[in-house]
Amino acid sequence: MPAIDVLFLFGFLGIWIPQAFWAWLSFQAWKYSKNAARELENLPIPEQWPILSVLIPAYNEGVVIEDTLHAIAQQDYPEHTYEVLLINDGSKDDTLEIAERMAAIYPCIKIVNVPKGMGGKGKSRTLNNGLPHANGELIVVYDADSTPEPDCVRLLAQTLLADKKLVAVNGKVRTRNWRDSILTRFIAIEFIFFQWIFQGGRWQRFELSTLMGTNYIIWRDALETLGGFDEKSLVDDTEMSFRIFLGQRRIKWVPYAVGWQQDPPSLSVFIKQRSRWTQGNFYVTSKYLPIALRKPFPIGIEIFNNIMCYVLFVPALIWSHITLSLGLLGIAGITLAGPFTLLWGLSFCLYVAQMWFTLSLERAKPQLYFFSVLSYITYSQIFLFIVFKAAYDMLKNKIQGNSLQWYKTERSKERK
Amino acid sequence: MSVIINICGVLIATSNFPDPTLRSFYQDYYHCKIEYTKEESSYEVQPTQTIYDLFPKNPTWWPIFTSDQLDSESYKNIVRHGINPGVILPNDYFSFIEYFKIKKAVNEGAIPIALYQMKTPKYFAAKATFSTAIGLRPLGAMIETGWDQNIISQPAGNYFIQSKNSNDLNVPARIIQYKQQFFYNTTIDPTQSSGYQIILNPPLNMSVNNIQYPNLGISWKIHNTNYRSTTEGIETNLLGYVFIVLSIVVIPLDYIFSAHYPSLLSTFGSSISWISLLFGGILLLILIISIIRRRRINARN
Repeated sequence: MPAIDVLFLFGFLGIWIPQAFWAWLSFQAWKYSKNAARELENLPIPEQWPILSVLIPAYNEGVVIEDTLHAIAQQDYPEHTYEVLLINDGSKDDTLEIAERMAAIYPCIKIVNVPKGMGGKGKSRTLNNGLPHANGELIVVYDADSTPEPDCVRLLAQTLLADKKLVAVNGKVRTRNWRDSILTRFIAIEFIFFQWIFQGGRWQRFELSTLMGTNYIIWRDALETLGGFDEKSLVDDTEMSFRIFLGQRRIKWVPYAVGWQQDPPSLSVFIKQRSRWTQGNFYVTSKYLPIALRKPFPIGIEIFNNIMCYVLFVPALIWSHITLSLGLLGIAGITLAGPFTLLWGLSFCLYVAQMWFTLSLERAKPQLYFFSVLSYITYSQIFLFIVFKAAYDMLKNKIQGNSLQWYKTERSKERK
Repeated sequence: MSVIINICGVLIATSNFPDPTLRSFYQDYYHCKIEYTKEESSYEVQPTQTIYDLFPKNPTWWPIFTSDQLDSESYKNIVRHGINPGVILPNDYFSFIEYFKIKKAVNEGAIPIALYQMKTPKYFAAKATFSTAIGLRPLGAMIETGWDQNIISQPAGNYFIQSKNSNDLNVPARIIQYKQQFFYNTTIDPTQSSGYQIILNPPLNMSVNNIQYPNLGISWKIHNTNYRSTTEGIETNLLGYVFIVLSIVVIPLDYIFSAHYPSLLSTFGSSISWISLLFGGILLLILIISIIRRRRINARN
């Protein structure tokens, strides 16, 4: 059998096995969309609302912070048990001035300044600095660019209070600035797809979903038991999710608590952000792999997903591209008998159909359907580069003995 | 051409003189020697079906149905009486309708029986593995081509033997044990009056008071991996379970295992591509229907 056939077969299986798994998750997501709608109608109203603190870590967030504070201060959670902590991590722009102005308008807003010399060490460190100043039994975390819908915090709290086995609840995150560029349109589609399939679908089947870093609520005592936010990790949310799973507790994702956020409109910022996330995923995968082998559920499911993505799917996609290029250039062709051209077409159709399916769960704008077709040959291919960049950066840091580098996503002015 | 044999003084015309194993069964269970007789004998020659009546024993039986008979009144009557009949799995392929019909019957207690072809035992192994994967684990093997002395070299389990034509001498109407194998006389003739027989597609009017179940269970071997299917479940090793899962996506499994590298990979690649096309097509259809439904619901709201 020629080497190109073996190569092709690996690529073929590496793409189709994850594809089949994700398609099955789509079906679970569809079931969850119906269950979640029923849940929302029957959410119990607590007799007593616990004190709730919203933590917003902020470093040079002048461009976005005003809208964020407006949206979070105007939540319909009972105001006598509600506070918002803006944790200013030594911002050098006008973040502090804006926050003070907003605090004068909304009494629920408090400003916590991270002491000099302790700031600039990333989001987890900032959150750990703010936590002792919070009075809430419930802690909600928002990024500084988040604008949740008015009922979002209340719905998160109601869901958490309704189910004793839950430690945390994550709401849905949507892209607010999706009109800003073609890239933000692609990100908006990806977020919808990712959340429904990987959060909703997995919750439906395995009662498993992970924190997404923003728009989530967690019991304070659980947070303190876990030792706060992991300052070494580039993905504090994923890292914390894993620690919660170790304690055999659950995190739920709900589609009805919606928070909007700004996503990077430029490619360079996007690549830096995703490279950081990917490095973070590499870190948690290697850290928890030995545990996952001993305890396959639920951590194993999460680790399996990462491995399937980074070890199977991405290399398979590259092999597939190489095989295609060799074939198109006439250097070598596969000799395997089978309907492979038809399967390539089917694979593309399935990719688009899965995107459209999740968009249909969201009442998304028609133009997003069009962009999801384009994303196959554009946006999706960028991820190959991102995975390589992340692997290269991580390897370089390892060789040079550097620790993982925190990178803060730059904000931009949005098109209104 | 037929030969005349003498069984305890009764002359029977059969197509072949029975092999030593079959003769030993008649010796052990009917206590009769089978002897060759010259055709010029003046005694009347009897048909083979009459033999079983010559050796009286309380008549007991167990029903087996072909899949096309699962809607019959006879089958329904058997199930209504709380009896678990056998159901023969189709030999070549399952249509979806046929699969769901058999699956429903199995869920209600019917016992899957796989066809065994002496010429292609590997096919049986592949079929049994695949049937296990799709929830129709066989507990017996049906041989439609009559007794063959090579059966005794097959894996342990129970074998239902049906004569190919009326002139063939079948195994005695008893539960016949040979080492770890059990053989059963299987017939479509419901007029039995003596001994134990498996009745294929029995008519509605048969008495259900004398049902006796066979010793259910069958073994097979794939690529040096042993399987033992019992009423409790399947017994195999880790590789065996891998083959069960693999059998869903690799067609045909028996062909794969008779192939050698490099054609092994080619066959695997080729068959999995067709399976992927089928599954992918179904999946795409489901997604398209879901999208249309969701868009309609959204438009209404």
